[in-house]
Amino acid sequence: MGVEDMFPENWWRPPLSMVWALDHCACLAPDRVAVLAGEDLSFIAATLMRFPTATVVVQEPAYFSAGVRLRDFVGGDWTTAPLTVLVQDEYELVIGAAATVVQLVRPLAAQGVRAGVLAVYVDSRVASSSVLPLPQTVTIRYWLRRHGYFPFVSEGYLGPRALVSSALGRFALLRGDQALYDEHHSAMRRHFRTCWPVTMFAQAALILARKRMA
Amino acid sequence: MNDASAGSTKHVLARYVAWLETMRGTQGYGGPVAHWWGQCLRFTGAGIDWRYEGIILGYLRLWERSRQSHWLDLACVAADDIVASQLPSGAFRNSSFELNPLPFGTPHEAACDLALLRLALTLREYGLLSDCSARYAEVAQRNLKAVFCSRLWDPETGAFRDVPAVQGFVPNKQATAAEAFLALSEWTGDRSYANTFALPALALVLRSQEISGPAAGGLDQILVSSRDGMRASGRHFPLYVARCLPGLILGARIFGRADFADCAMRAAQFIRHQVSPEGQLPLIVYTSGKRREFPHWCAGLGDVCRGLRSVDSRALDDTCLALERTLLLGQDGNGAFHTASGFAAILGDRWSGEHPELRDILHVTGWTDKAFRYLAETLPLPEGSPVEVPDWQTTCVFRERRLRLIETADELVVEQRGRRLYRWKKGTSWAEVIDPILDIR
Repeated sequence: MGVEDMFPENWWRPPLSMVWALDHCACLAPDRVAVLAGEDLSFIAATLMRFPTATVVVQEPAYFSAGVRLRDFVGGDWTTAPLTVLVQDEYELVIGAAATVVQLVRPLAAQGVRAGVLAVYVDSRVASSSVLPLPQTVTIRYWLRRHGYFPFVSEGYLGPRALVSSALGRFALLRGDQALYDEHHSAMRRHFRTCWPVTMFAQAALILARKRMA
Repeated sequence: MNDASAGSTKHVLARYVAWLETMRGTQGYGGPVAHWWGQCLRFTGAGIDWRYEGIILGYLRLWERSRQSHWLDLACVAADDIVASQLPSGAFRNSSFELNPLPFGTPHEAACDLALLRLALTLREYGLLSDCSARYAEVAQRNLKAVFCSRLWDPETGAFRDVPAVQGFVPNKQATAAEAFLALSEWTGDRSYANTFALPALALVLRSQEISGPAAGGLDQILVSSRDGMRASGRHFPLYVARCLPGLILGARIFGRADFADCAMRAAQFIRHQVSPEGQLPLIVYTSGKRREFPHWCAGLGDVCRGLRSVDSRALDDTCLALERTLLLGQDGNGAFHTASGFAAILGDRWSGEHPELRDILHVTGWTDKAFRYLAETLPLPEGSPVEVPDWQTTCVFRERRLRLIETADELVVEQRGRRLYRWKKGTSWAEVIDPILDIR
C-alpha cells in the first residue's frame, strides 16, 4: 500500500541509467536546449532538473496538462513550444527518449531539424520503446545517420556484466546474505556503463549525434 | 602536513572556513560528492542537503561562543541559500547529495529544516533579525508540512517513509526529522508537532535496535514493512547509528522517556566496540557479525564524535579521543578534511594503501561540514584576519591508475602524467569529465 502522491515514484528516484545519460548531456554545457515531451514524464522531470531554462517541445502546448505538476516538482524557468520550433529555432542540444524522437522528429525531417546535437535516450525496459525493432541502439544509430546526424557517443547502461552482478546480488539477497549482496551491488555499479559495441546488449543507452555539415 | 601532527589545533577552524568559502557559488555551497552508495562527480552545483546542517550550525556555534557578528552573517547567508532554493512543492532544489540534482532528499531536507529552525530560535532568543528568523522558520515549516507530513508520513507505522511509494523506514532519517519537528514545536509552541511526529519517529528508532548478538546495540539501517511485520536489513552503519543519538537524547529529555536514553546508551556502546585502537570505524557491521571495513570515514567522524558526546558529555574517553585524532589528522594542507580511507577496497581493486584512492581525498562539502560542526564546539576559536587558502596537490590512485589531484581556490583538477582527466571550475554547476574513467555514479 503506497501513500498517494501526485509525483510518481520514478520522479523521486529516476533510473540510474537515465541519471547517467542526462548528466552526460548536462556536461556538454549547451546554451539552448529543447526536450521532446513524450509519454515518460520522469524523463522530462529529470531533464528539467539539469536544464531549468529548457524548452519543452510538445505537440499541443495548450493541452500539456503535466506542466503544473512538473513546475511544482522542478521549479525553473522552462517554457513550452510546439513542434515547429525545432525547424524555426536553432538549438544546441535536443534531447528525447528514443520512441519520442522517432515519432516527433520524423515528420519534420524533410524541413530540416535545426539541432546541433541530438541526444537520444534508449531504454528497452520502457513499454513505448517496443515500437522500435531490436537491438534499438543499432536502429537509432542508422536512423540518425539517415537524417543527417553522425553518432559520436553510444554508451550503454546496465550492460551484460552489470546484469550478471545484479542477478547474483538478488540471489544473495534471497539467501539472506546481505554482505554478499553488497559485494555484487558494488560490482554492478562498477560495470554499469559500457562502450560500443557492448552497448547493443545493454538495457539502456545514450546516443549523441552531431549534425553533419552540408 | 596537517595541524594535528604539528601538535596545534589553533588554526584548524580558520583554515577550514577559508577553504569552505572557496566552495561557494552564486546559489550556495557546491562541489563533487563521494559516497559509499554512489558518486556525484559531474553535478557540482549548490546542494541544498545535509551540508547545510553542519555549515549553519557550525557558524552559529562560532557566533554563540565568540559573539563576533561575521559568524552570524555567514550562518544567515547559508540559510538564505535554502530559502532561495524552495520549490513550489515545498521541497528544496538539489537536496539529494549523491543523487543530485534531485529534490526531496532524505534526511537532507529535514537536516536543512533543523538548521533553519535552530538558527531562527537563536535569533529570537537574542532579539536579532526578526524578519530573517520568521522567514527561516516559515520555510522550514512549509517543507516539513508539505514533504514530511503530507508525502512521507505513514500513519499506519507512525514513521516517515524514505519515498512515498515504499514502506521503508530509515532510523537515522527518523531521528533527523524528529529533531526538526521538535525544533518546530519549540518555535510554534505547538506540542502536536512533537507528539504526532517526533515521538513515534523516535519510537521507530527504538524498534530498530539489535537486542543481542554480535551487533547488539546497533540500529538497523532500514526497516521494511512486510506481511510478517517489520523486516530488518541486517546492516548497521556506525556513522548512521551515531546520527540517531542526539535525537534520542533530546527525545528522552522532552518526552521523559528513559527507554530512549537507554537505547542511545546501548547504541553508543555498540559504536565504541567497533572503534579500532587507531581510531577507525568499519563502514558496516552485519547482524551475523561480519564487518565491511572500507571506506573508513574521516570527515564524517565529526558526527560520530558529536553523537557520542550527546550521550555522555562529561568527558572525552579514549574512544572519542582516538576518533577525534583521526578526524584532525584528516585536515589537508588547504584546510579541508578528506572524506575517507580505503574507497579502493570496495571495488575489489588491488589496493596497496601506499596512495589514497581519489575519493578518499576528495574534499566534499557535505562531509567536511560534519567535522566543522563538531570542531566548532570543541576547538579554540579562530583569531585574527582570514587565512589564505594555499594550492594543494597530492598523488592518488583510481582503478589502478596513478593520478594527481590538484585543488586551488578556483578549481579542482585530476591529472594523469600532466594530462587532464577531470576539471571543476569552482562556482560552476557541472564539471568537465574528460576521461571516461572518472565518469562514475
